[in-house]
Amino acid sequence: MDAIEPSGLVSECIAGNQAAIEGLVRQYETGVFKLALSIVGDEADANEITQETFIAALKSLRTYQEKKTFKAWLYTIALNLSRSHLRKRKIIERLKATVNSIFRVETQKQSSPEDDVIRTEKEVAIWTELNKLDERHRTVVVLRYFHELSITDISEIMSINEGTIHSRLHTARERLRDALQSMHGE
Amino acid sequence: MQITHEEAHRLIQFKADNGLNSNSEEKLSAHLKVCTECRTYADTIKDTESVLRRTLRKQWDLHPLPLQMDAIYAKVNARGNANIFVTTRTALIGIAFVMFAFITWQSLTANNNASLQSPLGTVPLIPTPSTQYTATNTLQNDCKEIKYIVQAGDTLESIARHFSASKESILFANHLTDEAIGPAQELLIPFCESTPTSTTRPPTFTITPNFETISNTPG
Repeated sequence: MDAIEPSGLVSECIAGNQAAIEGLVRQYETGVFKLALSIVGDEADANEITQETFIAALKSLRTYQEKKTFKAWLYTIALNLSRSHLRKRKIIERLKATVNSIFRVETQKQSSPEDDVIRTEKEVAIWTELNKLDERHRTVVVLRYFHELSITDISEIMSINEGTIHSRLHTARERLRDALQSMHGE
Repeated sequence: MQITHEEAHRLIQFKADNGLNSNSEEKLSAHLKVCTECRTYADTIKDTESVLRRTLRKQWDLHPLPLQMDAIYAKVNARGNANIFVTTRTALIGIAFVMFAFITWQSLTANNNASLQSPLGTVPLIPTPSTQYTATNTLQNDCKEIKYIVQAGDTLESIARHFSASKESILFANHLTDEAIGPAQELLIPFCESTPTSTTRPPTFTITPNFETISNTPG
C-alpha cells in the first residue's frame, strides 16, 4: 500500500518514543484528514476526526498486527470514526428537520463552500450523482478515485471482499456514466 | 475466441479496477478492434473516471491543520485516566450494590425471624453483643425460636426465667433429656409472643412500643 512501511516506527511508538510518534502523525495526518473530509465533507469535522483517529490509534497501537499494512489499519480507524460521525450528524439533521416541520420554520439553504468549488457542467453532474449514491457505494468510489487506493487496499480498509468492491465500483461507475450521458443527451 | 458485448462491458469495468489478466486483456482488445459500440462504452467509462478524479480533487483540495502533539499526548493520557476513573467508579458502584443487597437481606432476615415485631414493621430486633442470642426460626402462629449461647454460670432454669419460657419447652426444643448444659452450648429458646409468661422481658431487645404493651400484659 505504501512504500514506507513503519514497522520499526510502530514499535518505537509503543516504546513511547515521542519523536517516533510525531513522525508517524506527520506522515499520515494529511491522508487521514483527506479520508475524513471525503466521508464527512466538512473541514472542521475532518480536522476533529483526524485528531480522534490518532488518539484512538496511539491508544491501541499494541493491538496493531502486521496482518494489515499500518496505513490500512489507520485508515480503518479513520473510516469508522468518520462513518459514526456521519450517522450522528444524520440523526441530528433528521431531528432538526422534524422540529422545523413541526414549527414550520423556514430555513434558507445556505450555499456551502462545496457548491462554489465545482466549475464545469460535467463536474456538477458527477458531483450531484455521487451524492445520490448510497454511502456504501460512495465510500468505495471515494477511496478508489480520490485516495487512489487499489482494490486490495480498499478491501482491507473496509473489511469487505474484493468481489464486492468490484461490484460496487461497477454499479457506481455505471450510474455516474449514465449521469454524464444524459447530460449530453439533453 | 469471440466475446459478447456484455462480457466486453464487464471486462472494461474490470480493467478500470486494474483487475484484468493478460488473457482477458487480449480478448478485450480483439473485441474492441471490431466493435464500435464497446469502444464508445470504454471511452465513456474512461471519461467518467477522469471527470470523477478531477471533481473530487477540486472538491477536497484542502489541507489539515497540523495536529498539536501536546494536545494529542494530553488526550491520550487524559483518556487513560478517564478509563481508570470509570473502572474505579464501576467498582465502587458494585461494592455499594453488594453492601446494599447484604444489608437488605440482613434486615429482611431479621424482620422475618424476630420474635417480636414492632407495629411499624420496620424496626428489626437487634440483639446487643452481651446477649449472644439471635432470632431464628418462625414456628407456628407467633411462636419463634431464639438461639442462645450458654454462658458460664447459666443454668437451664436461669435461662428459662430470663426468656420467660419453661424448662420443659427448652429441653423439648433442643431434644435434650437432662438439664446439664455447658458454656458455649447453643440452645434454641421457644418463645411465643401471644403467651408471655411473665413481665420479665428480655433486656436485650430493642424497645418498641409494641413490646412494651405485650410485656406489660399479664399472660
